Amino acid sequence: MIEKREPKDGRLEAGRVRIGRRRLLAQGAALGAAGSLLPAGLPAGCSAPKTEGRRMADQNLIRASALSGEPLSAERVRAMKPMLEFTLKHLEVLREFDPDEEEPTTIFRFGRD
Amino acid sequence: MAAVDVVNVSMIEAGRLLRTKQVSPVELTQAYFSRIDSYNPKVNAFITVLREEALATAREAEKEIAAGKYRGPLHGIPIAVKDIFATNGHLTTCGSKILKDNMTHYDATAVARLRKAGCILLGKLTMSEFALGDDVNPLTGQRPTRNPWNLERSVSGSSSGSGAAVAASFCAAALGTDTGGSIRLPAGYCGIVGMKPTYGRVSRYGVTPLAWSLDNAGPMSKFVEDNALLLGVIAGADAADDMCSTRPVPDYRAKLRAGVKGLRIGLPKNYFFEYSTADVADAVREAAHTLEKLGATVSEVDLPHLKYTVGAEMAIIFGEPLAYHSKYIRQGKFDLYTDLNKAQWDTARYISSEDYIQAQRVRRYMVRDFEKAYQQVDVIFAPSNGIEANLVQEDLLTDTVPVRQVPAGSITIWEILWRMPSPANLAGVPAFAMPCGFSASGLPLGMQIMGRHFEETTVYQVAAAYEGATEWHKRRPEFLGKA
Repeated sequence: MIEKREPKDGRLEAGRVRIGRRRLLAQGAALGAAGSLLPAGLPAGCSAPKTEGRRMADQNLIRASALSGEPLSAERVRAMKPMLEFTLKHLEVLREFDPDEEEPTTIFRFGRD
Repeated sequence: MAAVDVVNVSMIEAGRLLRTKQVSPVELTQAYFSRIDSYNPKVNAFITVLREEALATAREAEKEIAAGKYRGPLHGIPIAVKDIFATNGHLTTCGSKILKDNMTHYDATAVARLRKAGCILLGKLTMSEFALGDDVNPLTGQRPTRNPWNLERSVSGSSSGSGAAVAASFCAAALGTDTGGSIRLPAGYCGIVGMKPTYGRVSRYGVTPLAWSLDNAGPMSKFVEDNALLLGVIAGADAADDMCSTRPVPDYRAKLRAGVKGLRIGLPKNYFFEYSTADVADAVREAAHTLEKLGATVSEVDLPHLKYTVGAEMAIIFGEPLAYHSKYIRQGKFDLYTDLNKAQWDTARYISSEDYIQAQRVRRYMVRDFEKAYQQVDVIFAPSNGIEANLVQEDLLTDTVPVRQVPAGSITIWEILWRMPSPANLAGVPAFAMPCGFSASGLPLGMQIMGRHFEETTVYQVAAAYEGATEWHKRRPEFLGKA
């Protein structure tokens, strides 16, 4: 017999139900360089990174770049910022892509060639 | 026939003149060098001119043709290639200071096949650095490549020299590469034709990679039939490129005179026309209706996943090159890149693995969108560039253009030039750019005809019918404005 556990409080239960794949990805990605630049919207009960609110600040970008193995200078950060802003704007659209399917479609292919 | 005319006839016609010995390969080659000497200093389309080698090859072709050893319609035809293709015994710079001394000792497969068919290589053409950065000749520092229609206008990229050289009649045809529009954008800006084939149709062996999962090589020319002839030569299996298809290569010229009666043309409901200027959008729709009068039908199609195009293209076209270029960056060569590539490589560091994988996933859904649309239609028409050629001094990332249906009313040139060509790269479908009108400024307007995977023959059939019904391909640039 399966024992059903009652939630200790409503907030935790809401969190269990509401955390979807998209939010979990955002939460996980927040640990990486790109994730530190993701917009607000973390699940209930998850504390926001300290950099939130000033994600495009030079110091934030420099710290994030260090995780990629190539720490950028302030000069390089300023030079690439317009390109980064454009790219992030469109990556945020891409991050909404969620076909909600389980098929193993992780590689581009077409036909049966 | 006077030499000045020979450079403006089609490649097919030049081949006929060579075969019938009305013109010799040496005369034809010299005629192109005369054009290069006169105008290339203004246009800046060549990184390397191979004068002595080309004339030696021409003399050899002349002997062979005289001896009855005619190889076919490309025998004795002068061409040039983007400096991203390896050529035996020459520099292959990729438009970069990093490779300015890079001597290659083999031919890329596409180049080898053209040489075997009898083509004469006139030289190596300018390009955006590593097919993504600023457009500068790394040997002379001259920048950028200028549009022969108006020297104050951009050629776009990345096959900038290929677009300019064909439009300026510096060569009969050229090879380019296309990862996010790099054949179609210069073709559209320069009023010529260019084919981005089905992904895997043409070998990339000997072509320096930009983004492996998106890269294509293809021909650029003035005329549709010339283009079909060239694709037939360079396409086909190559064990040296894992992604190169083993499917048989059809005769791409087989249906060029079949007309369009009964063929179905699709116009996308969403995306393409919303982000184009009004003159371009009108010209593309008018092109479809021109063929409707010849017996084609025109209907609307829906491609719903295109809203993810720019994000997916950015994730891949910045992410994959960083993997390739990290070796140079680790070697301390970062400062040798042009400013645009520096910004792009640094931006790539903020693209996550999630972004990259989602981009590859969304491509599968785009393929399905196209496959579904191709159940209703045979080809899809869309703008190739979305705008007329921008001024060379404009800042692509900040200068905006008024487009049709965006709430803000305008978007950056940079965004438009990614939006128009990238869907065909992401879905892997063939896409053929060709002129479909001229702007009020006298600049070419470009459209693209997209087809089913490996059905370039149908694309060429439709393109040839449109070319035959219009006069755009007969106009020649006048090198207006100041370089």
